[in-house]
Amino acid sequence: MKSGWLWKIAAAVGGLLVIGVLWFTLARPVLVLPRMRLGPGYSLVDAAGKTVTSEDGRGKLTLYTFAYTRCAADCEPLYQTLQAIDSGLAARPARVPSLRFVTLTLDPARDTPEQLASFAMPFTPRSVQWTWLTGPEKTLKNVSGGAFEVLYQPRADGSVFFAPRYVLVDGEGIVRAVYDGAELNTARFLEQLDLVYEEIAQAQGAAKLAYEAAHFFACYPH
Amino acid sequence: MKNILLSRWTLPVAGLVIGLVAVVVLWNAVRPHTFAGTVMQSLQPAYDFTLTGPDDLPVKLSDQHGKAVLLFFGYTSCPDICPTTLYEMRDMLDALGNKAGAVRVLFVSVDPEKDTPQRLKAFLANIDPQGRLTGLTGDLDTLNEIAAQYGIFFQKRPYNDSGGYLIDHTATVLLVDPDGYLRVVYPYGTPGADIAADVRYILSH
Repeated sequence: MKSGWLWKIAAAVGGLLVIGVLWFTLARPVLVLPRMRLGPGYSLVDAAGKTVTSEDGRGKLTLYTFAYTRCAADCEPLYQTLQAIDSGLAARPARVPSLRFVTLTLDPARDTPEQLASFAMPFTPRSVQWTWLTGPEKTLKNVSGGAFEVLYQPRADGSVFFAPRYVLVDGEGIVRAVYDGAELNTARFLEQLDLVYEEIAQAQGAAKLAYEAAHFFACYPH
Repeated sequence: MKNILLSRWTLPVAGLVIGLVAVVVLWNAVRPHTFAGTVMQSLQPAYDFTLTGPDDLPVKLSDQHGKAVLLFFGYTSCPDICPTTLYEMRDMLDALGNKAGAVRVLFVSVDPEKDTPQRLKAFLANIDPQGRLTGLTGDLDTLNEIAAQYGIFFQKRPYNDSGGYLIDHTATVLLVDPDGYLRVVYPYGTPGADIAADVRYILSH
């Protein structure tokens, strides 16, 4: 009799757990962006000649982009996208940590700190801090070409061919999203950014378990 | 009267206790392991590299397939963070007991100027006399390339005019699973016993 009870209870609990797991994976009540890979470690300099390292991004959200100051028309879609993201963020309540833009030059030979300082920024950000970084060619090759896997190649005329890419890195230095192409769907990006914000906000207690389960069951946005 | 009470309550109480035990046992059996670090969903194998190990012999990451690998970047003159982390690595291996043979701890030097394979071997033998910690070094370009791939920043910081320097560096510990995928990133200060629990889980799954 007791054995029968035990089996019934065990079956009921097991059944509930299976139903719970199925519901979680199908209904996906929690969505996350995957922790894809580690963002690169680096030490570079900004327009003021000040050293900026990957550690400066700890606890912040960073959208990395790749360009060069003499890029002109090729970079217009990038600048328009960044401006749209900045405007989108400015139009809503500020969230913590704030997003920052970091643009890594693809032309370190010409984009010295002085050149970066004299570069007329295509727009003045309202809510986002935007930093251009330069440094030794080898370092940038390791960072942009190696770790961020950006395809780029200097042309004979001094311009640089490159495949535009946006990379969202979280406060732990982990790549959470990669968007290829010059134009980024701003609304979609802001929605996905919100997923990271929600995860940061819920990173305590039982909610954290739900978020880890979402990672485990690959509950990613379509 | 007493017997009637006993007979009335015995079965429900026993059922409740058995039910609670069943819930606990089942939950322990099916609940996901809680990792001490940040779990990655790496789509590609960890960046492969070859560096110089003990006795000047090459050590290649992908040759460690089948073992859990813990990667830590530092240097032998490091005053605090590196020895502390390496002692945690030793504690982790101790906690793993006979499973420690399925684990490799690789300490990658970010100070190729000073850290020869011999120096690394002597330094690590002081921390773990059983010789379970492996020191690796290489030329600066190679180390820069590898460090960038693993999210490790390092930079020399002179502290006097006579050539003395420290090296600022990222102090995370990285766990590469036996299939060669980066699985967990540990912040500085994660106890070795907690990492051992994760490694034990990864080795058994």
